[in-house]
Amino acid sequence: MQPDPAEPQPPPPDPRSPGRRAFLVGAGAAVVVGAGAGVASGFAWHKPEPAPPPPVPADLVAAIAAEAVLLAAIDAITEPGDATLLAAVRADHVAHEAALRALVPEGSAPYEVPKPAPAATSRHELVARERSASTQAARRAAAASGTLAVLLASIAACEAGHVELLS
Amino acid sequence: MTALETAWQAALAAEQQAVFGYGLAGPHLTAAADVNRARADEAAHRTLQTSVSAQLVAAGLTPVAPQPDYPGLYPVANATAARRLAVRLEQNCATAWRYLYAALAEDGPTSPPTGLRATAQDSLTASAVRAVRWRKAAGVSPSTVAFPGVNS
Repeated sequence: MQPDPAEPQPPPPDPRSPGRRAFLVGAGAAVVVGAGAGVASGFAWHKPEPAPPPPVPADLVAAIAAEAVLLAAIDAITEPGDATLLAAVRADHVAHEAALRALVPEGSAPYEVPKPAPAATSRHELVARERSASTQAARRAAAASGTLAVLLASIAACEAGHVELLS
Repeated sequence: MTALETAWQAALAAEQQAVFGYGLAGPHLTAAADVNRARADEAAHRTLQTSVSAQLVAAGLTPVAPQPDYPGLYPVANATAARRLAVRLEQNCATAWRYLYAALAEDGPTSPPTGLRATAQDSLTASAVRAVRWRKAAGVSPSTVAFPGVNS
């Protein structure tokens, strides 16, 4: 829209002097720089340290470790018998471990799962380990809440099924 | 109805369906091992059905009534179909008990009856084990599932 020539117009800005906006921006920058200098000289040592990442819940680490123990036992079995069956049982434990690791909250502190030493395992021993793992998982589930509890309840049921299959 | 009550009633409904379903499967099973297993499993579900109904009543709730028929379970034409039906019945029960477990494991305002969580775990486990047996009998491979009660 063209300005109405009948209306009085503001005077054109003087190109030799800085405009009002430039003046305000400059003044603001000076204040910020001044404040920054104050922080740098007087308060830098008060800057809080970033909080350390929270540890992974102990029951979750224990559950992951329990799966690692079972996987090591399967890998060290001395009398595999039905290889297809053993592969299916192993696949369940791989799935359990992955599902548990997926529950580790993002931004948690690094955690370590003890690596079980390989030791020759008989089928009978594997059954005993599965039975014990099932009981442990149910116990951990009962003490947990939310998603972890439900996952552990299901894992406990699965491992009881392994006892049935391998016995 | 709260989420817990809904899940509790669903567990009862699954048990009622299992009792009915084993009645359908039984006449088609001829191998002694199958027949014995079906009888034992039907008895286990009947016992659970009775106890869950009693627990619901004790909690001041009205237990859902069993359906007069379960058309989704048909047809059952032979022993193979009967074994597969048994697998389905157990999977359905495992799903229902896991659902109840999840409702109990939620932090919420409800105050669950003492021992219900243990019942849910025991029943989930029992159905998972029975499902393994029936998958094995039906020649389903693999006969184990990593997460009983989770529908794949």
